[in-house]
Amino acid sequence: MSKERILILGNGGAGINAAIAARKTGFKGEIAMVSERDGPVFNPMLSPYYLKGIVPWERCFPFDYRIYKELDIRCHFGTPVVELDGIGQEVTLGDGKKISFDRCLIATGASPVIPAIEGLEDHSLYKTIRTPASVLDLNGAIRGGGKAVVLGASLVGLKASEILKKRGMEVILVEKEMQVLPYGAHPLIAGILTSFLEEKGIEVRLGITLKGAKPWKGRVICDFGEKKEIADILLICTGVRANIDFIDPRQIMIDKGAIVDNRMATNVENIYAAGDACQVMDFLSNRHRWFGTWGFACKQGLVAGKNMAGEDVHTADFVMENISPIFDWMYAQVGQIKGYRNDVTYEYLKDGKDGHYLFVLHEGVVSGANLINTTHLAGMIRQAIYKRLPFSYIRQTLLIR
Amino acid sequence: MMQYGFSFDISRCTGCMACVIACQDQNDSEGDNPPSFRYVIKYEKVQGTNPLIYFFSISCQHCGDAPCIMVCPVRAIKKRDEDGVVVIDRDLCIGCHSCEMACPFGAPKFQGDGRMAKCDLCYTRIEKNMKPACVRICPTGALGAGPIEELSKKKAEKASFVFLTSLVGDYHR
Repeated sequence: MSKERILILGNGGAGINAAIAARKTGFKGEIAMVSERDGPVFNPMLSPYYLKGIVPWERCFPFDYRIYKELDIRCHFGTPVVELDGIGQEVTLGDGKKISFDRCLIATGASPVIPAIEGLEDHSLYKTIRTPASVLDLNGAIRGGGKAVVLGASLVGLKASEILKKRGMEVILVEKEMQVLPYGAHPLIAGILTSFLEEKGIEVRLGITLKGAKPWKGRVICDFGEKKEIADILLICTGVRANIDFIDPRQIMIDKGAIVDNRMATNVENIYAAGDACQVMDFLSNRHRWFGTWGFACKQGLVAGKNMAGEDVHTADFVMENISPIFDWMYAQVGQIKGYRNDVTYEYLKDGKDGHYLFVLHEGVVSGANLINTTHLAGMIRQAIYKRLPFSYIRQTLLIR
Repeated sequence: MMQYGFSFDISRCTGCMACVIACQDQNDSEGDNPPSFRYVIKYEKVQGTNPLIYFFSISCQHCGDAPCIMVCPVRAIKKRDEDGVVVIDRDLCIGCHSCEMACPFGAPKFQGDGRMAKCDLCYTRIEKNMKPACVRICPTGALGAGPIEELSKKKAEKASFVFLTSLVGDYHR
């Protein structure tokens, strides 16, 4: 190689921000980018807004093709990376091509998890909501008056239920756990959200498992054991997993993603990871965790890009955060609600007719919060978690106004 | 790039709320309880036997590395080259509230149309050599605004949310 080469695996928020940061830092070498999908950066977070008719399709692509030219990125699009030799500093693509590098960023994102359920090996039976193709496929399948089964009451599942309902479908939201948002919401808050969804006409079934699915006259028979539903759409929203199958775990430490430090560097020199493909340090638990949001991916990509270009910058540890409208309500999770530690207490406060706060406290210090229609405090509560401020401070300064 | 900002002298703020009203007036906030781009919070503590009350007048700090900009999925939030003021293109906003989560100051405010609006440091006034509405009205001179390098270092520090850190000190003493 005549020039230094930064190789970015993935063409999403993390990857493009890494390239932007590297160039802004003054990197003059080659930037190459590999992506299985051929097309500009897609922001999956915008899919629900497209499906609701709030944003046009073209705006789901926040950077257009010009950016690759502006940043002088050599694109290898349309073929996946199948092998990464971190020590030999070379990747192998699906078409057999090999690309060597000086520094490499793993930013390959994540894909929906499809549960191991009989019938779901037939991909035509279900829809997902992640890639441009899957979003267009779902959009084309939505028919007013039909029936949709949404599997998984994740935040995506809740948003998808809203979209399908608003577009005239009968919606059944199915969750195998006994509450909606089983990983992000306190049961009390989950119960409030469940009642709200039911008021909006969504049938919520909790503690129910899909046993199998099979085609029937262009529709899907969903077998829930005692009950069967014939659905026009079966939408799978049971989470995502990092696209890291090409990583050799004997080289690079992985768990649910590639493990990185606060420079976004893996354990292998010159190999970095960012976005949904990595796990970063959780401020609260002091463990590496997966934080899958667009904002985090962009931030992590930026830090990785600067470091790959020769700077030495660090991110702060991360605090879990999610915020989203659900119908005409706003919901947010800040920090850790469940599984943080056992010796926590909870403080629930109501604010007006539809405002709810649920704080998780450890020794009087806030470690998490669920907010419904009180998300104007989300950023300040997140800051309070970072500063380890006591709940009494939040109560006095933010809640009593 | 020139960077404008607010300064805030906590020792002068009496919590009179004039800045809040001036902001609402300047920005034509409507309704019975309009969201103001500026708000005041109160913090009480006891030092010895003396009760102390502090007021903080807070709005967008027009951060140098504004976290709201990067998290905006539609790139609706930008920093003006000429003065570093963080502004939003409301036509692009989709009401996702990502900025609300990113901002440690509670600066993004969502209007009746579901889109975000925020303090723009009254840059149209500044361009005409006038002070931002909140600064002009402040009867005690607690609020100031101008290029960061012209604001005294002491005031600039107070202007930031560093006060949160100082409060932590009170609790851990």
